[in-house]
Amino acid sequence: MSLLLEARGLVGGYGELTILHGCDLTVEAGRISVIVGANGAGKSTAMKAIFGLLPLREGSITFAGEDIVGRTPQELVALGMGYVPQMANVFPTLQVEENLEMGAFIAPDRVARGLERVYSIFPALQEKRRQPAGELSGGQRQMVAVGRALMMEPQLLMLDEPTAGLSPKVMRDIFDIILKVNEADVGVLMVEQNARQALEIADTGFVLGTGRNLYVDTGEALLADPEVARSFLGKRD
Amino acid sequence: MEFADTLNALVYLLNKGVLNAAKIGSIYALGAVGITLIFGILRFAHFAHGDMMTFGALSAFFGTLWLRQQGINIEPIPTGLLALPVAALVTVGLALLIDRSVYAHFRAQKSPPVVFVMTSIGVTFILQGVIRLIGGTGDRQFFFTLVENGERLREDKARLLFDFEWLSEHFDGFAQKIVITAPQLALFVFTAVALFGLHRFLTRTRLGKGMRAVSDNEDLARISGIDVGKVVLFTWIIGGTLAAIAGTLLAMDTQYKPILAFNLLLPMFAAAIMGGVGKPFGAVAGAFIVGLAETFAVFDWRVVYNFLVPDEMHAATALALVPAEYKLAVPFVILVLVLIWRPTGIFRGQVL
Amino acid sequence: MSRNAVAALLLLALFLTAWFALSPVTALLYLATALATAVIVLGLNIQWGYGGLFNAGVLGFVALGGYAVVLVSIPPVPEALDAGGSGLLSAAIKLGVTMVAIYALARLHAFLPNSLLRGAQILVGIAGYIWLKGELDLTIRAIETAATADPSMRGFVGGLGLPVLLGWAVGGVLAGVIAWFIGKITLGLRSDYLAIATLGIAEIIRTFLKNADWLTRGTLTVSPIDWPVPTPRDVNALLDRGGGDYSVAWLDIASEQAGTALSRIMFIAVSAAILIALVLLLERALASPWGRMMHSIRDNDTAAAAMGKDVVKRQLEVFVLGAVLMGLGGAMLTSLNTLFDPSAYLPPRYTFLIWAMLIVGGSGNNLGAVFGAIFIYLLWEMSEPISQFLFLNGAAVLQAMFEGWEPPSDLEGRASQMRVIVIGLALLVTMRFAPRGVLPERQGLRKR
Ligand SMILES: Nc1ncnc2c1ncn2[C@@H]1O[C@H](COP(=O)(O)OP(=O)(O)O)[C@@H](O)[C@H]1O
Ligand SMILES: [Mg+2]
Repeated sequence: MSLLLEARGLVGGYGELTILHGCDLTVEAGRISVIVGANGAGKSTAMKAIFGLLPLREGSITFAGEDIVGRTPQELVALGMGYVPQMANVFPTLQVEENLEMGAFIAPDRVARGLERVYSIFPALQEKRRQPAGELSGGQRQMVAVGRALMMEPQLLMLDEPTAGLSPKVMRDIFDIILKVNEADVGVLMVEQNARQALEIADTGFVLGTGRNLYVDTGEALLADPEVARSFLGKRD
Repeated sequence: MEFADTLNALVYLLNKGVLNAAKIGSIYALGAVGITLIFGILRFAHFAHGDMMTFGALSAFFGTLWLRQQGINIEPIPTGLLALPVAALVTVGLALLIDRSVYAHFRAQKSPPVVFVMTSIGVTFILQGVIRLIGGTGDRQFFFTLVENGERLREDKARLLFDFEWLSEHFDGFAQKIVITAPQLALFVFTAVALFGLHRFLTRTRLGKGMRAVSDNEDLARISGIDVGKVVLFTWIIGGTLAAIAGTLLAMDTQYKPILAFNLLLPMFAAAIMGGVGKPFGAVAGAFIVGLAETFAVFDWRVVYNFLVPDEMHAATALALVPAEYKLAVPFVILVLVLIWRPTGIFRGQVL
Repeated sequence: MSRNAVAALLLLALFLTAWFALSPVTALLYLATALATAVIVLGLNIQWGYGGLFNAGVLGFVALGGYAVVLVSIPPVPEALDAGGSGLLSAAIKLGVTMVAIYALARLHAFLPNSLLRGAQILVGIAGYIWLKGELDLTIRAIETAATADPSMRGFVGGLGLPVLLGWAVGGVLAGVIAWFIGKITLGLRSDYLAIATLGIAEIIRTFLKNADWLTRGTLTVSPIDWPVPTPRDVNALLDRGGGDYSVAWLDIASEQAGTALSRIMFIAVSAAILIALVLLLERALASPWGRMMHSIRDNDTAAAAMGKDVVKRQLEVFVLGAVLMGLGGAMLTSLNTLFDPSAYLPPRYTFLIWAMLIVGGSGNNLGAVFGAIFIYLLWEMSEPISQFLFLNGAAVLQAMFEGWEPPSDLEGRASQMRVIVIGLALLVTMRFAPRGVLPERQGLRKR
């Protein structure tokens, strides 16, 4: 199985402050990788580093075999990556449809097809297409954010805690959507606080701590590992 | 009291009050839109905006001088308007030059807003010097008489006169007129067209939506693949063009002077903040509110009042809320009140 | 050699250039002005360098300080006071009542929603204004029409006729009091909003001083204003009576300039003493727990607030303290000029130039502030004669080269504009290549 994304030995942080101490993250083509870990472990920082938002001090990142260290987010979007950050991930004063269009800013000719695809995945958005995104509910906002990242039909979708702050019902909806997107052979790299549910759908799971890989295995294996279960998954419900 | 006097009062009010407010409001609007776009997209209060307006007016003046000397004119359009496109181009060029040579560096450093404000103060200094260096320290009229081969070529402000003859035939004693000069008419037309065009641009075009997106959330805009550099470029193009138009039309209506627009800076900030930073149409509304408030705070109601009351009750002294000398202070008072009362603007503005 | 020493030598070199290339009395005037300005810059350094407050309304406090000198040192005009004294008193009382009412409303914040409260405050303010305006208009008219023994004082209430040094102190106090009110309503705004608000308030103060002819003589200006030391005129009169030759050849001082030079040196001595005392006091204050707390607030207000420090209260303290120095400096300048001219307080000169001084000198460092003030002021004054010289000679060369070319008639006026360009460039170059200024703040202080 070829690796769609391969990040090795990432070292970096904010200014002088080093947050990442050599973690590895990989996604196989068309598969789902999940990152879990305690608050402040550096999960979001790792995502930003991969997406070119943070200068790396050491480490290599390849996407579909191509070296992407130092590329701008704009170039990464063109290469086929989409990223949904953890917070503030919609344009609040732009209408839903305008938000989506911004996802295909670099390729205006793909807007129509992208919209069609996103509306087929999220029919709820089509009804609200003229509404400012800032007025939507949390779940719908998350849909707009994911939809925006899907506009360019990426090969890899990066999601940072897409279910944070959502009700269990909406959370399940979002997970269903992620699975549905993945069925179309889109690779997914996802950070999740709801570790158990996330690992259940993960092909590969990464447990991060202080910027390092603590455990790497299939989702299933991690769920079965008593050590992981004790420290990261909490009690069984 | 005659009905004619009521008409007199009304038309006087329209001519001296509403028209003035609309005029100054339009100027403020053109400037404040640029300020609010820069505020929203580049995230700092651009203190040099007034001087960009003055620079635009100066370029237009030189353009006018050149056109007149070449004998180029298209009746009945004032020559100043013919020079406007070039003035806009020069002003945009200046804005881009400043951006590339000054602000771009601090943008790359991700400097905090105060650093930008401070550098824009440095830019203000340089611009004020350059403007006087090339334009001199004196005032200049856009409508001047050119002497060529002993021949005196005059250009006058064309006036549109509404003397309501048909009405005065019916009402004895109705004699008020409305006078609109060519520059004023041009100002209203340009403002309407520019604002309508801007609205279309911001809501219909990819780049315009991109601009709004950057204003909403710059990081997300980058992540989405929006070319922020291009958005910045267009911000200056739009801001510079509107600044040149506002400066030129203001100078044509009154006269060009080196401090033409410096005094407009604070009212324009007031308008931009009142409208909610980053919201161009909020800024337009703010601009007209400031224009109205400023005009009517110092408006002398005596004439209107005297039209409406019997002769023996006529007022002899000015009936103004605020003495005319304090006209300039009115927008500042509004500004301070807005900042304290609703720093996010009177509409639901974006909190930067 | 330390940075400070290099900076001092640079200033000395500039000063000597002015001394020998222009004239000794001119150089002394520049230095005296620079020292008074340095007091203002120290005030801004307290607000910005230590407090992180972006005050773009420096000129308001400088102008208030300037007015205070008029208020204290100019003799009263009895006829005007007879005509309008009681009216002024009652207007002042009405103003006081209005302000107390607004303040009392603020106490109701527990019972009323914020927007309603602010709306009510604004309404009370407007009502108070209208209530006060009627009385004040009549009083002002009475003052303006009162016949005076000295016709040049007509329409002006005058001052208190007290020593001018007291006026300097009152300049600080007046600016501080007004700053307290301004700070009360504006502190807490985000940095560039604070800048715009203070800029606006300064314009209001300026407009008021410029147009309140009964209080300030407005565009008619008030002069002469006294010095705390004998003025050039006094000293010259004294020397004339002596009648000797007072020239100092090696210093290039001609006999007829000696009195002026001596008097200016005395003014400089007083200003320098004040400046040195202020710097020493400020350094002590900053080393105290209060100073360390200020630093922690500036560097990270949220963390400091979380530590239970009353950020806004501390900021109000530095805002007022800074304004006091601005008022004092403004008073000193007014004395030095022997003239109070409210129309002269323009933002480029009295706000932005002060900022350029602080940024170039090094904000956060008192010595940097003083250096910046003197350096930029000398640069500001001297770039004018230098560019005039260059321009006029350049024009002559061009005229020789191109037959029939006429330089613009206002060439000298245009050349004097070079100085704003020089200052603007100095500011931009500093921000780009030495963002912390020529004499930066000591790192140790910044971190702890
Ligand atoms: N913009 C930033 N500047 C400085 N430090 C940051 C920034 N963002 C996050 N951090 C720090 O980096 C560490 C890791 O943060 P993050 O990657 O967001 O953790 P996670 O997503 O795993 O909860 C935390 O200690 C956090 O305080
Ligand atoms: Mg996170």
